[in-house]
Amino acid sequence: MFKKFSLMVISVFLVSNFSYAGIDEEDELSLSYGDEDFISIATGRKQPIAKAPAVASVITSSDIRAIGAKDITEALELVPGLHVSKKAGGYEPIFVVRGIFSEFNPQVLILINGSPITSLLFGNRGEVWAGMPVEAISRIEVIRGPGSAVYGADAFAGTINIVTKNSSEIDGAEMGVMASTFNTVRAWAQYGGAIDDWELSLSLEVLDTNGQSEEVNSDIQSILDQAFFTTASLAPEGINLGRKSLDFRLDVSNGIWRLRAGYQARRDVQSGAGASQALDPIGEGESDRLNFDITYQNKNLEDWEIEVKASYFDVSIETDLVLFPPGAFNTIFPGGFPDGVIGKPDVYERHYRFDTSGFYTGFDGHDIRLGAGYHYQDQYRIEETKNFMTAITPAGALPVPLGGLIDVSDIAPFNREEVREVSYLFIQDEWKLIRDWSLTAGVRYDHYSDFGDTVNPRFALVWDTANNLTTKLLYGRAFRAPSFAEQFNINNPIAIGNDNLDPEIINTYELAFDYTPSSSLRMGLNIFYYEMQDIIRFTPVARNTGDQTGQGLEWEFEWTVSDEFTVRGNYALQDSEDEDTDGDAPNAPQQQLYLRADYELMPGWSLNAQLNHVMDRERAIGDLRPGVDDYTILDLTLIGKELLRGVDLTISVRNLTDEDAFEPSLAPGLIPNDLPLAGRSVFAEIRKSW
Amino acid sequence: MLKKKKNGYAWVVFAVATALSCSVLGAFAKGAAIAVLYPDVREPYSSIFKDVLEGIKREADGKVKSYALKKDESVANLKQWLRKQDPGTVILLGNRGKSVAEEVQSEFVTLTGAAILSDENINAGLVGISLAPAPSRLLSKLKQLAPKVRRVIVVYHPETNGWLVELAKSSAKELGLELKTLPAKDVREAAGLYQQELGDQLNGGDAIWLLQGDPTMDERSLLLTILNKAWSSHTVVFSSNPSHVKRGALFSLFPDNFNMGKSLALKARQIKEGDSRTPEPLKDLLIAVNVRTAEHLNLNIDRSQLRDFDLIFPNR
Repeated sequence: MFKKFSLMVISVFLVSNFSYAGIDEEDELSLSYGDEDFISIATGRKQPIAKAPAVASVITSSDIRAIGAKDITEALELVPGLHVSKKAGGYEPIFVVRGIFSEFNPQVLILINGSPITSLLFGNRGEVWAGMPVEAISRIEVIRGPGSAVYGADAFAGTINIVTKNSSEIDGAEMGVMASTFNTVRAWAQYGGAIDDWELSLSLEVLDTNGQSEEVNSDIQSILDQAFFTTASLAPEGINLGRKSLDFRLDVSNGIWRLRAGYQARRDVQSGAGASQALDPIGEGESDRLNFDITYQNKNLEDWEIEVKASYFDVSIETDLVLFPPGAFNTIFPGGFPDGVIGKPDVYERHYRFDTSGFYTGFDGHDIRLGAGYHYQDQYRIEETKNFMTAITPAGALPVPLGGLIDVSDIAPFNREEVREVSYLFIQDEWKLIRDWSLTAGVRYDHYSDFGDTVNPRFALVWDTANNLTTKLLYGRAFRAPSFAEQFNINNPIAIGNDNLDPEIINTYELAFDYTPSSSLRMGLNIFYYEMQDIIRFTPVARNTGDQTGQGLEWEFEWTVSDEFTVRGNYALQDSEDEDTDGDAPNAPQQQLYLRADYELMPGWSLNAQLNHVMDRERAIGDLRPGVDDYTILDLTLIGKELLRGVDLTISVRNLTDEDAFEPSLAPGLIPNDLPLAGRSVFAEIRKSW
Repeated sequence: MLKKKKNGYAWVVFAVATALSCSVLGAFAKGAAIAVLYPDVREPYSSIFKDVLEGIKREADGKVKSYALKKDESVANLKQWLRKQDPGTVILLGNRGKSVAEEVQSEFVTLTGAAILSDENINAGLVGISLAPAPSRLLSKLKQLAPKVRRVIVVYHPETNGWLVELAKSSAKELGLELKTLPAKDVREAAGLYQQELGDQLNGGDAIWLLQGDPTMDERSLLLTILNKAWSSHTVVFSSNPSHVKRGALFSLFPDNFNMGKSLALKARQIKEGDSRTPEPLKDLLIAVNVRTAEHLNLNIDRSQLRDFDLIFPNR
C-alpha cells in the first residue's frame, strides 16, 4: 500500500499539469459535469444505457460520426468479434459473429427501437435491404451471444438494437449534405423540439449512388460458358451497386405515450455481383418498409413499472432480375433466353405485434422482469414472373425456357402465402445473492403456430470483484426459427422447403472480465464456448442436419493517452468447427484486429484513424480454393466543428491505401476470385445546425 | 405644395412622439432588464449555457438580452454593447464570463454563474452562484444514502475551496456529522494525507469527500487509488463530479442547468434590490449514483428508488 502511494506520488509529478488559473471553458465545465459524454447526458441529449448482464458493446452517434461511418455496416465493424461480410446478390451485409456465417444471415437479430425488422421469407432483414443510414441513430447496442431468453427468436449469434434519436438529442434543426466518390450524394435533415408536454423529432435521409464498381474477373456464367461452349458471361466487369434510398422517422412522446413511425424506401437497387452470381447490370429491386408503434409506459405505480406496446410492420419487396445474361444456355436451348434468364420474385409481409413487459420490485433483493406478447406475421402475397423453370437434368439443375415471361404466381410460385402466430411469456430475476454477488436467471417460452414450442433459459452470475474489476459467468440458450424459405419453398428443385423443421439451437457459455487498471485505461476480456445444433441446410430438401462448435476470445481496450488523444482497439479470435465435416467453419475470420485513434488536433478539429485487419478465412470442405486473403483497411476522417456558426465539415478517406480486399464467395466458388470490396474513396460532408 | 408641407409636419410630430414613447418605454424596460454574457462554445457545452439562459429568461419574464462571448472577445466592444443595453444587472456565465467580471463590475452590477468560484475569486470581489454543489446538499444526501456514516474526511486547497469547507463545517454540525478537514497546498501533500487517512483504520462509518476543481486532486494518479482503497475498506466516497461516479464513487451532485438559471435571475433581482451580495454554492442539483458501489456498501437501493436518480451507473 505504502509503496503504491509512493509510486503514485512520483507519478503525480510526472503526469500532473493541472493549472487552475489557465483552465479553459471546457475543462472547467468538465469538473462539474464530467467529460463530453457526461455533458451530453446531463443536458438530456443522450440517455444512459440500461443494465444488461451480457457481453455488450455500444456504438454511440459520436463514435459513428468520429469514424466517418455512413451506414450501420461500417459502424458495426467497431464491435469486437463482429465482422461484416457480403452476399454476392445485392452485396447485402452478412453480420458474422464468433464464426457463425451463413448466406442469408438469419442468426443475427436486428431491432429498431426494440422492434424486430426480421422478414419471414429468409429470417433476416429481407432482400433489397440495401443498408441503413446513420444520422437518425442515437446509438447501436450490440449483444454478442444468445439473447433469446429476452428477445425471442433469432437472438442467436448476436442481437443488434438500433436506437433512434429523440427530440432532445436533435435539439433544433440540423441538416447536412455529403458527396463522395462513386457519384454518391447523401442529404439529411432533422428536427427536434417540444410543443407543450409533447416532444417531437423528425428525420429524413436520402441517398443516391452509383456504388463502387470493382471488377469481378470471372463469374458463374464464365464457368457455364466453358461447360456449354457459350460466350455469355459479362465478366470481367464491375459489380453493380447503384441504389436510391429514403429513410423517414417520426417520434412523438409525452413521457407516458410514445408514437414512433418509420418508412424506408429503396429504389433501383442493383444486384451486386448478381443474384445467381452472374453479373447483372440490368436487374434491379425495390422495397418499402413501414413501421408504426405506440408505447404506453408507467413508472409511477407502487412496486411496478410497466410498458405496453402495439406495433405494425409492413414489408414489400419487388425484384426484376436477370439471373443469367443473354446468350446463356444458348447451345442447349438455342434462342431460349434472348434477354437472359429472367426472374421477378416479389414478396409482401405484414406483422402485427402486441408486447407487454414490467418490472416488479415488491420482493427485497430481487428485480423481477416479466413479459408476454402475441405476434401475427403474415406473408400475404407471393408473386413471381419468369421465363424459365428449373429442372434437374443429367448436366445438373438447369433453367428450361418457358418461351417468354409468364406470371407463375398462381401456378408455380417460389414460396407459399403463409401465416405464423407467435405467443410468448418470459420471466427474469436479478437476485442479489450476497454482497458483491448477483445472479440473473431468466427463461422465455415461445409458442410458434408452425413448428411448436421452445424454451430458452439464461443465467448470469456477476461478481463485483473489486472497484476496478467485474467478473461475469454467463450461460444462455437461443433459437433461430426456421424461415419460410426453409419451410415453404416450392417449385425449386435445388432448395425445397420442409414444413417439419425444428428451430436451430445454440448453447453458449461465457466468462467475461471488465478491468480498469488505471484512470486512463479500461480493458475487457471474454472467453466463450458454444454448441450449435440442428443447423438447417438444403440437401436439397431443408433438413436439421448440421452441428457446429466454437470457442474463442474477444479482448478490447480504451486508453486515454491525454485529453487530446485516445486509442481504442480490440482483438478477436475464434476457432469454430463444422461437426459434420470436422473442418473449420468456413468464411468467417478466425482473427480480427481493430485499432482506432482519435486525436484533437486543435480546438474544434479532430482526426480519426481506424484500421481493420481481417485474418484467416478458411474455405468449406470440398472448396479447393486457397483461403481468402487477409486484408487491412485504413480509414482517415477529419472533422472541423463550428467553422462558422453551427457549421461543421467532415472529410474522410476510406481505404486510404487502396487495399485489394475481398469477402468470400461461397463454395464451390462460382465467383472464383471472391467478392471485391471498394478501393480508395473520399467523401466530404457539410452540416449545419440551428 | 401646401399639402405636402402639412404632411411633412405630421411626419415630424410622429417621429418626435415615437422617440418620446420609445424612451419612456425604454426607461421602464431598463430597470427590469438582465444582460447575460455567456461563452460561445461548441456543443455539447453550449447546451449547458442554453439551458441556463432559458432558466434566466423564465424567471425574468423574458426581459433578458444575451451576448455570446468569443474566446478573444474585445472588452471595448463588450462594454459598448452593455452600455447600449443599459441593463439592471449583468449575469456573467462560465469561465469566460468570470474573467471579464473585473473589467465590467466597476461600471455595472454583476454576478457570475455557471463557473467555479474560488476563495481567490471571492476575495477579488466576485459575487454569484458557483458551480460547486452546496456542501449542505451533499452532506444531507450522504446522510440519506449512507445513514451509517459518522465522519467525513476532506482534503482541500484552502485558497481554492476554503469557503466551501467553512460552509461544510456548519452543515456537518447540523447533521450530526464529524468533518475532518485536511488542508493541503498541492497534490503531493494531498497524496501524503490520503496515504495517512486511507490506512486500515477506515471503515463503513467514514466517508471521503472529493472536491471539484481542487488543485490537490489529480484524476490520473490519485483518484483510482483512492476509489480502489475505499472499496476494500467499505468506505463511502462522494464527489462533485459525475465522472467520479462512473469510476466507483457512490454519488455526486451536478448542476440542474435550467433551475440554476432561475436562481441566477432571482439572485440578480436581489442584488439589484441591494440584498444578498454573498457568493453562494449551487443548490439546483441533480444526482448521479453508482449502484454497483451502493450494493457493495450494503446500501439497499431498490428499483423504485432508482427513479429518483438522474444518472445511474454502471452499465453492465
